[in-house]
Amino acid sequence: MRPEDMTTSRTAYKIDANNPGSDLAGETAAAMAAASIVFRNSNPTYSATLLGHSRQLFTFADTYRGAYDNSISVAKGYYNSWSGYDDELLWAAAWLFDATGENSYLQYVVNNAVSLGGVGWALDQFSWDNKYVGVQLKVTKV
Amino acid sequence: MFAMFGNLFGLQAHVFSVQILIVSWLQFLLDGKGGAYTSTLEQYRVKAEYFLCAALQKNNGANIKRSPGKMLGILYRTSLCLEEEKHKVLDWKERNVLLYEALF
Repeated sequence: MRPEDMTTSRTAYKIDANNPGSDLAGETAAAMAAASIVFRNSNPTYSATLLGHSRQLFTFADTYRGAYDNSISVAKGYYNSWSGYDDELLWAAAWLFDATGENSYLQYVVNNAVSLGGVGWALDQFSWDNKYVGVQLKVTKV
Repeated sequence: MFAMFGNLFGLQAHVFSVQILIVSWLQFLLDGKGGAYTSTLEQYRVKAEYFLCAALQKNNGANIKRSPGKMLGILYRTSLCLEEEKHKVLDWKERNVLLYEALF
């Protein structure tokens, strides 16, 4: 069923500096950076918009750190942020490095490899919650 | 990545994983352009290979559980949800320990 056809309550929630959500913002930053690569040739304007917002979201996620389900506690019943937000910060930086080629994003992934758990765990899942394997695979291709 | 390609191409997931593995080795051998980052990037690569080998069912027993038709990777959420009722809130490291125990 399409979201616009659903008749149940469609409450919107937000994250901000006082109610942070580094996992949510980081994942969105990663998605927009990835999409900016897809549209780079066919729609450069849209691609640039995506990249601009991706950068902003990553800065927001990194600056105001916190798990989104602490800010939006109702989400705990559905999409609990089990792995926290460390993996999404690395995930966002890895995609931003891919999209921009800017050294600062690679530096982030390297300098925070230990503190954010990027090289600490060998895992066997890649999921909506846990992005570590994705980071590890992306960094392999640097 | 694994589930996505597993869904679409079935056994080609294996081929795909092997290709990534070989490309990653070759890139490291050939260019070494990681420079000052090489040692950290190498640590990332080791963890990435653990995942690829688990997907390929070649990880010394610690493999990703597959559906009977080998099309899907099976996540642990169902079994761990039961554990969570007992233990209440687990952090994700504890979950991975339980995951390991549940699967292997």
